[in-house]
Amino acid sequence: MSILPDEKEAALMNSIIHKQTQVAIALEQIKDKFYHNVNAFMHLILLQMLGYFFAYNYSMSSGGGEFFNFTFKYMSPNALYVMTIFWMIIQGFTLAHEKSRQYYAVSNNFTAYFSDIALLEIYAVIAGLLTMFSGSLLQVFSSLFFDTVTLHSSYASLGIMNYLSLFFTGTLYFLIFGSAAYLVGILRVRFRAFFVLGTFVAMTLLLLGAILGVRFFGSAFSFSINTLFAFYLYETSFIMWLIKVLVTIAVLYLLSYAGIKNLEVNK
Amino acid sequence: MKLLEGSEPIYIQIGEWLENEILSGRVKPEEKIYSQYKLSEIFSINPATALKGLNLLVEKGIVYKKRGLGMFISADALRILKKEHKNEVLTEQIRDLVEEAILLDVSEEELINLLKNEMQINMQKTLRNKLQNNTNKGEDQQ
Amino acid sequence: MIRCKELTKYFTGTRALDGCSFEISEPGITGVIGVNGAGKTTLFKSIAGFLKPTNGEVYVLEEPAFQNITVAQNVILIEEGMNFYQSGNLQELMDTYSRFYLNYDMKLAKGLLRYFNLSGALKYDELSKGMASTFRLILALSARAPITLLDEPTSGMDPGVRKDLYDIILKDFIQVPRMILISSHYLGEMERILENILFIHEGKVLKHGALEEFETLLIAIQGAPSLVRSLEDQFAVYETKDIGEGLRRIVVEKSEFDHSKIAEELRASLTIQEISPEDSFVYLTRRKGGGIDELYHS
Repeated sequence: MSILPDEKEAALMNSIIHKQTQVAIALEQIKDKFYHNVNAFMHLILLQMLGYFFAYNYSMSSGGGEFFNFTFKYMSPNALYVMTIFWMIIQGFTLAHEKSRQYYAVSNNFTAYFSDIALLEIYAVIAGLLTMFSGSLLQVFSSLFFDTVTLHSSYASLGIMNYLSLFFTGTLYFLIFGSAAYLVGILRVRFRAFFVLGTFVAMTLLLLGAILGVRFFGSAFSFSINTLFAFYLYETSFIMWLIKVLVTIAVLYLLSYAGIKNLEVNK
Repeated sequence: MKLLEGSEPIYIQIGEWLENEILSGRVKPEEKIYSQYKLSEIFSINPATALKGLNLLVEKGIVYKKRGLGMFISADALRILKKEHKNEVLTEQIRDLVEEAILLDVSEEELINLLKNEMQINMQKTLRNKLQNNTNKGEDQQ
Repeated sequence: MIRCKELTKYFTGTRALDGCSFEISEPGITGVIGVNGAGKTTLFKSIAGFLKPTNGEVYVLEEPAFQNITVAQNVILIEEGMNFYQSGNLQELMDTYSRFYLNYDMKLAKGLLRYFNLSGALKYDELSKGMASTFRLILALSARAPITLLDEPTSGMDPGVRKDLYDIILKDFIQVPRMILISSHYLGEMERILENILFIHEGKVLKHGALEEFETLLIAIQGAPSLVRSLEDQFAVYETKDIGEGLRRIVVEKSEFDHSKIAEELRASLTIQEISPEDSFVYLTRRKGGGIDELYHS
């Protein structure tokens, strides 16, 4: 069809064709997405500070006698954890939601998925790091305002293993929340119109399932958010806990990938 | 950027333009002719189209390819072109002229006189230009 | 390097592509012409690997295109209404693209921005329609991707800018020869920079060939009504029109006319006029049937 000095031109064009691997592109995407979402870390710090603020919404008991008064204040960093979990959910959902926007410079479903998951893991680690010292940080803040600060016995042994375990468990829990939010986001992108409907249907089914389960199998079958948390939190064997958490994450990852797999780029 | 007009395919118009360049003497035999890229630049057209126009001239023997060096105007170019133009272009122009003359009620005699007149004026112009050039050359030499 | 075989794509309720087949294996500038809804955008998205064929195949660089990372890194597609991943400023967008498209020429990109008086600090979302089109084109050309797909690249631009842009596409192509496909439903202004034309209609390839094949596609025959009418049965007629002074004009295919056995005298008494590719395109895509005149005859 063309009668240009064809060999020279074809050779020139072949010289500009590239074949980078998916992993190479995915790594580049991780860097790119990280830099573009740097603001997210500022949000994390702000949210955590908010968490500390709420921590001071403590329960108080006071009492006294004839010769003395005392005020006993009890604080916990739970608010902080909630804030961080909230942040992870936002990040997970936002990352998934970007799939509905059409153009990422060079991408396909696999590289996009790979870089999203890697990014979530990085976020979970950083969140874990920042919350690792929460207990001690509270102590430091408190000693500015109060006379005596006593740590709960669970903080008594301040050895490195405790910090590491805090970091490790925190990171994995955060990752679970982030991945779950990511999956929800992917489902929303994939089943756009049916998402709201699907949510209602799922909730109804769960409710029905619970009611029927209790009806036929006894009260042991009833489950709620508490039982879901208890599944992980009250596991005493470390190996079992690790298996539970890793399997949960793996299942979330797999379902997300299944949702992304043949996604088309279309408005 | 030169404009192309007319409903003829672009590559044919390019061919005609090139032939005019040769006929008018602006490019001479054994000289290198415009490359497809130069043409594409002048007329803002695709170089492939320009090449097709050049190839028209190659087919007629007016232009030939020197490997690695480009396209050159052949020594015979003017002879071939003049012969062709006499046959085609001039004949067509005469046909149009005669039609127009008939439409305007111009007789054969009148037409011939107009022709003679025009040729004389043209010859005088050429002579004057030659003299001017010689005077300029003379001045330069002094 | 681009090969479509019976490419078919359905969306709910519409057949965007319906058995589209063609092949492009050399660098060059190809114009993809078709009316709105003919399937040009769907075709481009399929080549870029964004859409999965319902039927048929699309191979780019010898590999199936859908979700293919080799295809993704060697093809760049721009279209009106595309939203970028991040709403950053122009320079940031170009930086991102330069990290993924390895041939990216940043010097050229900056020069082009300057030429069109666009500052790198502007936000893409704040650009006017014409400026956004200009920026998208600058981005696509600077990427120097082996396969560059430009979907209606000059929409919304002022005429003066449009001319410049086609010249820029041509110049860049000469600088770095590659496959450039430009889609438009308006052939006129880009005709001259094209080498080939891919003519899409109702999801199919109506014709794929060099520019001059389209330049000699249709002709208009004008003459005495009785004479012209007698010819109408022999050819596919694209338009009929009765003009004043007792003349009738029809539009037919040149190849049909050339090959037909019509006497010399008959030919001599007809006026034949070539029809530009632009107008040919209009005739070929208009609904077949009688002319407007018949509607308005009382």
